[in-house]
Amino acid sequence: MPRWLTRTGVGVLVVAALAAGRAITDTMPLTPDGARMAAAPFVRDGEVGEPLDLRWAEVEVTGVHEAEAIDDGSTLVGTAGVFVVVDLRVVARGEPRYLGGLHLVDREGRRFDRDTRTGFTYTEAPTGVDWFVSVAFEVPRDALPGLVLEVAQGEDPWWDNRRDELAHVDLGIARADVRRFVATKDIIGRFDAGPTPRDTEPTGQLEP
Amino acid sequence: MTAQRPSWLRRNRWGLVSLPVVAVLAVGANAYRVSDYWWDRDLRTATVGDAGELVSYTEEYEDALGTTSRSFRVRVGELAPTRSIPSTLGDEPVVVPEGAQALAVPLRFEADPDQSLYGCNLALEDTEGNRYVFDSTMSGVEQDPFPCLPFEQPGPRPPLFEGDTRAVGEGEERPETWSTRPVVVVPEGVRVSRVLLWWETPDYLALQVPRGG
Repeated sequence: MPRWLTRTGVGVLVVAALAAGRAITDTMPLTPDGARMAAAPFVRDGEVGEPLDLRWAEVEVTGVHEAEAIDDGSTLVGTAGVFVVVDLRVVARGEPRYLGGLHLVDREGRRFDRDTRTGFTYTEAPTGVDWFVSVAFEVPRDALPGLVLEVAQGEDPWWDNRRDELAHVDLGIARADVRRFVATKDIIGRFDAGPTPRDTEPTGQLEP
Repeated sequence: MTAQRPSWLRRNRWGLVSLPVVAVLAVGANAYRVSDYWWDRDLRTATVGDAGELVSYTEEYEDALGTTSRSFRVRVGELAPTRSIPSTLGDEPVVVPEGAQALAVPLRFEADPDQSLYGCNLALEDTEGNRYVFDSTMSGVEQDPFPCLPFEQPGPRPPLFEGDTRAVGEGEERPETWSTRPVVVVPEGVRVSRVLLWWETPDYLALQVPRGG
């Protein structure tokens, strides 16, 4: 076989291998968040009351509550939608963990940040012991059925969740529950994360 | 008679010799974030002190005025479970989660009064490598923020901007020796093996915990 033909053949094989690698990477399916599967986080699915073992913590949603207003300690914070207050128990593994990536995700993929107006605070969960965190989200009424809580260590640009573990917890809100959520007059008091769980009784009722 | 063609190894010898160099350069060129985003973000470089010994520690660091250093000596005593923390209000009860305990960490320091020890961090490490970081607000009692300093006499504060000084605030002169007793919350049954002290990662001081006999 002529030498030029051998060299050309090797060149074609190398280019074909590179092209195949790129094609495989590009055609890997996307996650629902639009990330490439090769870099996607490992998601652990669960439901309310189910402890989830993540690489960096044990996470359990212990309760979901609705409110029309949050008492931030000095004033009432209202909403045109509904407040969804989620109570969590967290046990950090290895070192203290900061839950910097807490979001609600609805059936359409819309993401809701915690509502910072409510004054709920959370500090790092200390290693190895139960730590109770509550977080309040303000969501529109049509987002309620099927809401999922995403629990991650952090979020861009401060944290890189690629290849990390995170939890998706179905909050168990069915269409039949929406009426109750919307009709609520409950006021829930702000809560600081700590070693004791939040008192889940509403602190008051808004006047009809 | 025709000359024998050189072997494949001989023809490609320079390519083969340069291959490991090129491989190292290729990986190195893509590793520029390893230091900033991984190595420097955790405790990596330990100075280890034996149990019960007065351990000397020196490290260089940068502040707003440039490169400087801090030196001190420290000894860790036996860790002891505690139910209260002394505060300005007297002894206040510690609030710990169920299944946890509060451990007091007795530390004895020696340092020249011009050494800035502001901003130190402390953690306990158990025999499995879990790290329990001191948090001045966690135990239900507001502790002194820096576990290695006397609160009222911290000594020199770090300069925050160019033109600032490494001066000691009025009345904040630190004695040459002093003791602290920070309290750290850990799960019950944990065997703490080391006390870690650090300012900026990746450097840290690891003190072996003495065992009672």
